Amino acid sequence: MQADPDVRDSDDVLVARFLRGDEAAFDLLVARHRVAIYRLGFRFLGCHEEADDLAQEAFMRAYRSLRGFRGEASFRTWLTRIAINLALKARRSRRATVALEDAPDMQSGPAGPDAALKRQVRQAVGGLPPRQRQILFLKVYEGLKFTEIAQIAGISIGTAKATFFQAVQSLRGRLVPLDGGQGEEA
Amino acid sequence: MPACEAVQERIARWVAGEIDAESRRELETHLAGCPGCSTEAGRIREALALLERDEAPDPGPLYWGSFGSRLRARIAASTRRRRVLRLAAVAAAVAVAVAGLAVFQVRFPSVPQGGSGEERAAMPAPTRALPVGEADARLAELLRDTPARDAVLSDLDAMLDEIAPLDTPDAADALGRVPPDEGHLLVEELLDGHG
Repeated sequence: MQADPDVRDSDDVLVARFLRGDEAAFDLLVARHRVAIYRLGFRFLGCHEEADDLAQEAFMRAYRSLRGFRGEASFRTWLTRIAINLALKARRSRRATVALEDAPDMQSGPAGPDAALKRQVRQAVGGLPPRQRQILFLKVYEGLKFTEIAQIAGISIGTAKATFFQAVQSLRGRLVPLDGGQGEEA
Repeated sequence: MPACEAVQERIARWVAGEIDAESRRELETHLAGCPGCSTEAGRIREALALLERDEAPDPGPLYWGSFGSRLRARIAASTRRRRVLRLAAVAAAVAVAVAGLAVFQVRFPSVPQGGSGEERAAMPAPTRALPVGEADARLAELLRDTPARDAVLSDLDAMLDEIAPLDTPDAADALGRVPPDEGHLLVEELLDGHG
């Protein structure tokens, strides 16, 4: 008889157990990745209800498709790609993207010591060209490696890196007027 | 020592850790002795660090406590819905096939067997039996102006795809790869699309 899955089991082990019929292994995968997928949804869509729906739908699709998963990408990358596809679809369908600087959590929330700087950085990120903003999003917000970003976006690793570098360069140019440039405008 | 402009162009690679050891040493040496570039690098690092710390709000333990059970209910409901839809699709396909057969039989009735010689004589002259190929062609012709079976099945497929997509994640296969057309969409969205 197979022992119960353990929270210390790797994703690969849990996926293998699920493929052998162990439903509890899927529950552990959900528990492990649900926060990241919810946050991804929130950052893309900007509200709790849509983030919740995206997270539920992403895991449901993963559940249905996992039997064909061959592990060439990591489970996390694979799941992230499902979630991003759903997020992009949701944004397309509502025909109104929530810009980073307009997302609810980005307008409210506690006013910490660096709240003003945060707002400025968000505005700078929000003003980046879409391609740069989205690669920056995957790299910085989601903490993905370039290989994972390349897999998710269906682009080469070199293109993923080059786009990220361009994004940082663009950000650098946009941040200058936010602080150092204030004197120039005064 | 590299010029400030060259250093600032390399800052992005530096903050991403995508720089070789020698270039890194050169760059850090320059930063240590150049307040302007050092400020520039610090600004970038601070901005990225702020973004990294910029977490979405946590919906709280009550939300997470019900997440798994709601997911299970969603999976179960979806499974039931897909089963019903697929049964409906099969039933509709069978109904269309039966209707097609009925049309065929009305149009080409078979020669009755048995009966007395007088009964057979009283009947109209038997229809010439058609070769299979010709019969198929005639049937296709008859069905052309009726609700075509293929069209009905195609509509059902479209409906199923819309309501209950196939067992692959949206636009991604089991390996996380996307088919060329959907992949194009994804890349367009990620790279050139509407941010």
